[in-house]
Amino acid sequence: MNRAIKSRLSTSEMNYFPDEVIEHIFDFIASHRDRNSISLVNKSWHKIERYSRHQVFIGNCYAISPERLIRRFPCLRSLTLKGKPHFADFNLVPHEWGGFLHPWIDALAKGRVGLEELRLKRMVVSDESLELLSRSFVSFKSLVLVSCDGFTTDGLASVAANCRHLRELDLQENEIDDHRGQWLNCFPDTCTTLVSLNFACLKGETNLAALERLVARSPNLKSLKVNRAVPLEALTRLMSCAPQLVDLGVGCYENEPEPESFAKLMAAIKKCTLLRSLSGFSEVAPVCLTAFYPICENLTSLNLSYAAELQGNHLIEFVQFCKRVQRLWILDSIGDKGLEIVASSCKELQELRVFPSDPHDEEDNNTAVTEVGLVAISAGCPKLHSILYFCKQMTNEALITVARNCPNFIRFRLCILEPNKPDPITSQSLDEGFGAIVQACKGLRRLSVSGLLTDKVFLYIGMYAEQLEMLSIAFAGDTDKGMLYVLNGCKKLRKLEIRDSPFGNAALLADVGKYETMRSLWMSSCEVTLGGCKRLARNAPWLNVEIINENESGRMERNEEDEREKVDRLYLYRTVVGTRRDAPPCVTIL
Amino acid sequence: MLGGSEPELGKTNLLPAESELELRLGLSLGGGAWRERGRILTAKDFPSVGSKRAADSSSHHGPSPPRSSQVVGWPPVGSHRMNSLANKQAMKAEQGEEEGKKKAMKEDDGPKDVSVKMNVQGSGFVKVNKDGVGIGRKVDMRAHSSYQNLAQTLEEMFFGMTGATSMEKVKPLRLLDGSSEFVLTYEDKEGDWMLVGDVPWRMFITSVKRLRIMGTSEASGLATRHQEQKERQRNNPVKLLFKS
Repeated sequence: MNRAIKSRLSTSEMNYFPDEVIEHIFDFIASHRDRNSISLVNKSWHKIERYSRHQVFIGNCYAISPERLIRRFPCLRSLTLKGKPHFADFNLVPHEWGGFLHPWIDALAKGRVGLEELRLKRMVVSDESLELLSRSFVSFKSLVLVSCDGFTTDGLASVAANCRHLRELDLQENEIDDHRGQWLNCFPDTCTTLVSLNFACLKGETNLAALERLVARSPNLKSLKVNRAVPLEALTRLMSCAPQLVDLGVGCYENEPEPESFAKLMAAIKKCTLLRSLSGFSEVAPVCLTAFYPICENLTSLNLSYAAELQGNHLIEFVQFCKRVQRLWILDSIGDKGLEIVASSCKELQELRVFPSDPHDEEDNNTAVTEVGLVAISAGCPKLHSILYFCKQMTNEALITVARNCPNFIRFRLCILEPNKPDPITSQSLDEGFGAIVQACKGLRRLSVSGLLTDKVFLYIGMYAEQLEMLSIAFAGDTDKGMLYVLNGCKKLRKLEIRDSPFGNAALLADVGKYETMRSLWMSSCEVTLGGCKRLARNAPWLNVEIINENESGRMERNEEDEREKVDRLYLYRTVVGTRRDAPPCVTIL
Repeated sequence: MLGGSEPELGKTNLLPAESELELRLGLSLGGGAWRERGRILTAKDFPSVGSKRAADSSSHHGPSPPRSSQVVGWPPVGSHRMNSLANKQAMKAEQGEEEGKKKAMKEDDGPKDVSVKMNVQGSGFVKVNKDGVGIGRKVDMRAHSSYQNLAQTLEEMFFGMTGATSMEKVKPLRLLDGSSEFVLTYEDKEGDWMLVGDVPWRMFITSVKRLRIMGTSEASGLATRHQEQKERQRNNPVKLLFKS
């Protein structure tokens, strides 16, 4: 593209290059952070970078407006947007808090942006938005929705019908109102471009015939994740006409498959020699997992975390043969013994997530995992860098051992199911254990702590966690000092989320400028008061300070507020566009 | 809503004066006759508020730290995953019951036994029965964040898709928009049967003891009976909002 831009003379030699050359060099820089950096070098680079930027990542949809985004990046093709704060996943944010997609689609359509890809997380999406999206962007290729809600299968039908070049439709853990309609039928017969289709989160029935026809005419289909309404025979047929699949999410299996059906399934699976990733299994008879034995050695990614029907021994029998698995998501029914077997079999393991099968401890069975499993994994899997571990208990000794075994953790999230639980052997807090983790893991970017913790653990975090970007705290700490250690120490902190911890105004207000370097702060059931939040809002006009009220019925009446009243939920974030206008009554923006 | 003379929300859980509440709820209904548009109020009318401190303790440093099962949003498992688990636990419990009980179990007898087994302190499981279906199910109230959510789960359970217990072929229930022949009702702590959707979600989950998917003809009788009980429930802000 020819542009008559006169570059300003400067001492930098690179400015003597034509812009096209500079732009070509920028093409090699993909990371949005790096691109943000190069756009700050000088005005010329800023301009070149603007026009050549195709992918934009917006971590908080209220930090900027769609209009400003489009003005700055008119050649935008791929947009990632995140809406509600993380704790919305745990029902701590009211349903109507915000994060609406529509204004963005509206602005992008009006601005005639050539949008091709849209990735959304925790946004409220409506059928109208999906309809508008499907009609406004001729080259639209990829829609990925994670933890979104507000739409129905009618919206999906619009996307299917109107996006002529659709390659990817990936729906992960969304709340979708399933009208049990014919959205799969809405893909025209001419649509043969699908590469990835994931509708595992849909709860209703699926038109199997339409699905089979669609898969049969999609030779490029690499990833298919169906919902539980797709039974065994249908899955067999699907796999038979798509042996090129790399990523498969299976649906529902009958309890007792006929031997003939089972044999057919095994035959179809054997042909899928490219299969590397397996998930789903939400209603599965254990015997059906065995049908996948022929390809389990090829698997690099295995997600059995929804397979609540599978007992520990079934899981172990399967996972021990998955010798190449790099990413494993599993339920704690695998047990410590199972994790020991994983540790001895799965030497390529990089990311492990162990979810609780009985989160509220209702069934009184003792298959949950403990520190034993974690230590075994840390000892056996040298490539491990990411862990999410829900467990019954943890000891300092175990954490110190894990830190020694695995200094390469980037993400370390430990959730001891019972709040405030101390080390069961020493009855002490877990400060030392987590301290060892942050001290050893110099590259740690994300940390979640749990169990009994005093201010000391935060002293350690502030001292050692130099690369830490995201920290999640619950039921921890003693005084404001704890929070202060973190705010003062962690220079790269971007997201801090705290619940049920005794941090108050002194910590909140100590360094207001810190919040300009962060994306957001969440504090719920802490000790901050309305007065403190108001003071913060006054001193930092570039922050949106949102109070989410317990009183659902409306805003607080200004003349009756008590400044000493504790704030139930506080969410603050930096923004360049000031107070948002779409907040519901239960949210007060100071 | 918070007047100077009214107690603050939070620890005591008192609600605004009845008359204010009634007025607000009335407006949101839109005034149609119940039979034609018997819309059960959904989360849109009562914004669901998730967080609340553990009901019994004023501070988590108190003598008894909250148990995992008593705290909202804990453990931090995504709601999608929790809903999925809850459905399975309900189904498993259901199968356990079928094995353990005699065939001739009346609907009314069931919940008592079940509540001893499943409704332990802190548990969110309540029994759900649908008129015309012999076997009841169980649903975890804590795994849901709104009326919409709950209705969806119930519709799946009784729509017969996974089909272990529901043999009949039924139309989608559409419990919350009044377009079906069924209405969702619940029994509260005081033993009264109410229409689901009257009260804020957060209040509802603390007072619901069991659920019943009722035929609409029976439900209108419920309305009349409830009007008579209104006087006894001065401080209970729950109102029935349809005309009989």
